[in-house]
Amino acid sequence: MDATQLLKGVLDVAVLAVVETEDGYGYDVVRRLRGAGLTDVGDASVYGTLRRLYSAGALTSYVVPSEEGPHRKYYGITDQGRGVLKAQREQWRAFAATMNNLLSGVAA
Amino acid sequence: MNMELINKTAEYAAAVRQALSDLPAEEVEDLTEGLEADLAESWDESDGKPTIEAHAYANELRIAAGLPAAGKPAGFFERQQKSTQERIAAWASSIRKNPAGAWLLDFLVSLRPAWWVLRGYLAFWLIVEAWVVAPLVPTSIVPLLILIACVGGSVWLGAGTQKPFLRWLTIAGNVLAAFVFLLVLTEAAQSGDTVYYESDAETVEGLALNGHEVTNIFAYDANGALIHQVQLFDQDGKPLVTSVPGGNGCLTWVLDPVNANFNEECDTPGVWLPQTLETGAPAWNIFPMQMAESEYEGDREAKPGAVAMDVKPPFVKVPALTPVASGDSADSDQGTKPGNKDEKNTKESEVKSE
Repeated sequence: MDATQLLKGVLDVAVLAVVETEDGYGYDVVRRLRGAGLTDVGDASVYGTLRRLYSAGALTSYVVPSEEGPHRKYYGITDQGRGVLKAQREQWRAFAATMNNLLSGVAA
Repeated sequence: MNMELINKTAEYAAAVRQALSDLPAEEVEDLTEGLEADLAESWDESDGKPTIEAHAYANELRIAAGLPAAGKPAGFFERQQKSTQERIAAWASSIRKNPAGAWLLDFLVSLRPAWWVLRGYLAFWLIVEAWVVAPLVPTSIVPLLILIACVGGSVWLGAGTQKPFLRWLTIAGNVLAAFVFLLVLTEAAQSGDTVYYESDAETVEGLALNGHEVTNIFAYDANGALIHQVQLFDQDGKPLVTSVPGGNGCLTWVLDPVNANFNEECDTPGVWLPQTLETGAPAWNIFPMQMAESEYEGDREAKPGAVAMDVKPPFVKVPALTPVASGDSADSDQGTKPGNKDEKNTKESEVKSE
């Protein structure tokens, strides 16, 4: 099974969860996702997702000037984003439970 | 942060932006803001090299951001239209940043209905002007109806929402209307001819007659024969000089073969020459003034070896005065009728010369 295909469906909720813990800039989010075990996640996929969640109002963004090098664009979660995350978290749990049951042969 | 690495990522970042260039500029900027810094950090952990091609990277970015994958590149006209619209929008928003600019834009926008009416009038003018040879009139109501139709149509076009092809038609019409407007203005300026002459008259130096330069004077004696050399002075004893003492003139004129109605072209350019007084001083008040052939370019220089020539007088001979007036016994005739008439003539000419 291709992990990247699986990832596509859950990247939104994964990114929201990471940012909920602590605000982060693009590559920082990538690093934390990878650190959490999503080693195959692509940089550009994460940046694109951040951008899309921002457009949808789930994230807020602000620029932090850097004394050396370019400015960093940080993303933080909004109330709307928390709502989305809550809903998707429950959705995921239900889905994961269904899949776990299905795959362990306990399905009704 | 590794500045050297950031510089290295710039080229890659530019390629990514290029691959996204079919998107609106604002979108591209949002998507790739801080890209160099992110890339540098990423490459720092992967041997300082990109892991995928810029094009693939851009596509991943695009898909993750929920934008359609790169389709076929936009056609030339689409790109032109899009970039033109973007440039106009950017230009307008940069003007709006300034309060005076915003006010001006709003003001111009509020003037649009006036432009629609003017545009309609110009269309009317164009129609009437084009048909003016075969007059519109059976009745004078026809032009009025055309005017109403033109203005109404123009306002309808401006105020209504339009189909795309109508919009292109409107743009073309606007350009035409602006051109016609210039034509109308030019025509209006030309109809105010008197203004031109008045301003000319102020700039003429030396003698002028009703605003026109007097370049030479031909005196005829009482018998109507041309006087070949006459010195002229004004009422204060100043030498009477013509408009262009020493300036360029024309030695011989030819009729313009193309425009034969009074349009003459200069065949041989000439330069006016003064006479010399017995004191050795040059005199510009001896008439008719003579001329020598010159070059067009050489401003006040006669051609080498050119000789002073008489200029063709307007009349070979003019009517002589009545015999009584030309009598040399003016003293003895004093008080008689003809003498009075003579005096009257002088007065008249004095009045004229003022």
